[in-house]
Amino acid sequence: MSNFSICGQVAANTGGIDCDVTRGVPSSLIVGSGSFLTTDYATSAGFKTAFLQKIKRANTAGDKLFPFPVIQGNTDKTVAAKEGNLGYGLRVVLLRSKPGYEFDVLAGSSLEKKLMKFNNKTIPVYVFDDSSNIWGTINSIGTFSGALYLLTVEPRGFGDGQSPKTTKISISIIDSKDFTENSKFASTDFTTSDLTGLLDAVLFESAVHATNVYHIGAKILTDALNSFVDVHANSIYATGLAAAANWVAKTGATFGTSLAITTVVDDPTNGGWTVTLDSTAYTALASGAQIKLNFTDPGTLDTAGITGIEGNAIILTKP
Amino acid sequence: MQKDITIDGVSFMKDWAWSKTEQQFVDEFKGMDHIFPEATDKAGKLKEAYSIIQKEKPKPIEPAKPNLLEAVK
Repeated sequence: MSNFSICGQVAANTGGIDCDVTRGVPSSLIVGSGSFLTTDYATSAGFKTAFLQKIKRANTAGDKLFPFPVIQGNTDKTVAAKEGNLGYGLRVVLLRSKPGYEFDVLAGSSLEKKLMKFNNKTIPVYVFDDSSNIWGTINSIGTFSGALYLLTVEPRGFGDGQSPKTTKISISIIDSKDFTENSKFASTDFTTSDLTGLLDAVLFESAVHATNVYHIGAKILTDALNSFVDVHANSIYATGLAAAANWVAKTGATFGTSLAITTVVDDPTNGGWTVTLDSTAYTALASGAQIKLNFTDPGTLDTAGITGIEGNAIILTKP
Repeated sequence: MQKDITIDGVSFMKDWAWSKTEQQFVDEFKGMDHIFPEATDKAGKLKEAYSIIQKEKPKPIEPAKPNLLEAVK
């Protein structure tokens, strides 16, 4: 053996750290482009707050995170390293392995439709494990993000009375180094119930409007025919959304102009809320002008105690 | 600071109300049945609400007093 080596330069010291952490059993996936700068994770509490805030972003936000349902099973779909043999039998690894997994989740048909929108997407994925560690990747300037995976969704079929059926979420990593060399994890005290996605609350006109006074309801659509969950029927939401600060109205060609909301009143008669727009600004709008009315962003709603929903705007056309 | 204030079930946007005179405020709502439907004196009730909202209006920041010592120099 030679006494000359560059191992220290091309390789590394190999001492082990006591109680070093390994990946646990995946509990849930959180996907999306939300990432965290060094300042975001300078403290554990800061990271936790920042992570949850990104789950409560509006759909229009580029850094929103989408938690998937709790994982009920996991099949290792890692593609093994590609090997070749030399003439005398030496086995050589030609290509390293490619980590991939298939997860079983429980999802009703309404949720499955939402999950299918992620099918065949290349998307950053954080893996939350049973030790409450969030596994992701880090780049050269210290930004912590989900590792990039190709994600596919296989919908659940009919039951067969033989074996349980689930929706299957598969992930295959784009760059194997993001699974090992670039891998980082954040220790949290989250539970899976902290990591739940939002529901779309679709706004609708619950009664005919009178000039600048609109009657608005909100419903969560389901897959059952002619069926929805009425947001107003929950007294917490009925009361919480009877606050003008929790609504926003925009107009203009690209809905970039704010339209003042003057009052909001609970409207139990019509199962919603009576939203009144500023009469002067409303009168000034031309006939046919469109108004986009919505709840404010889900993060603000959450702070106000209105949790778990994001408004889907209604477009109102001035007669 | 909370952007709105609820008075007898009606949530008003404060900054909008602050930008109005009392008369403009009353005129905006006096014909609306869903605003204070129980009130027998609607205009009076609206004036009362206006007064409550105005009390929450932030006071303008006073300009800094000139430094007399500096002025003497």
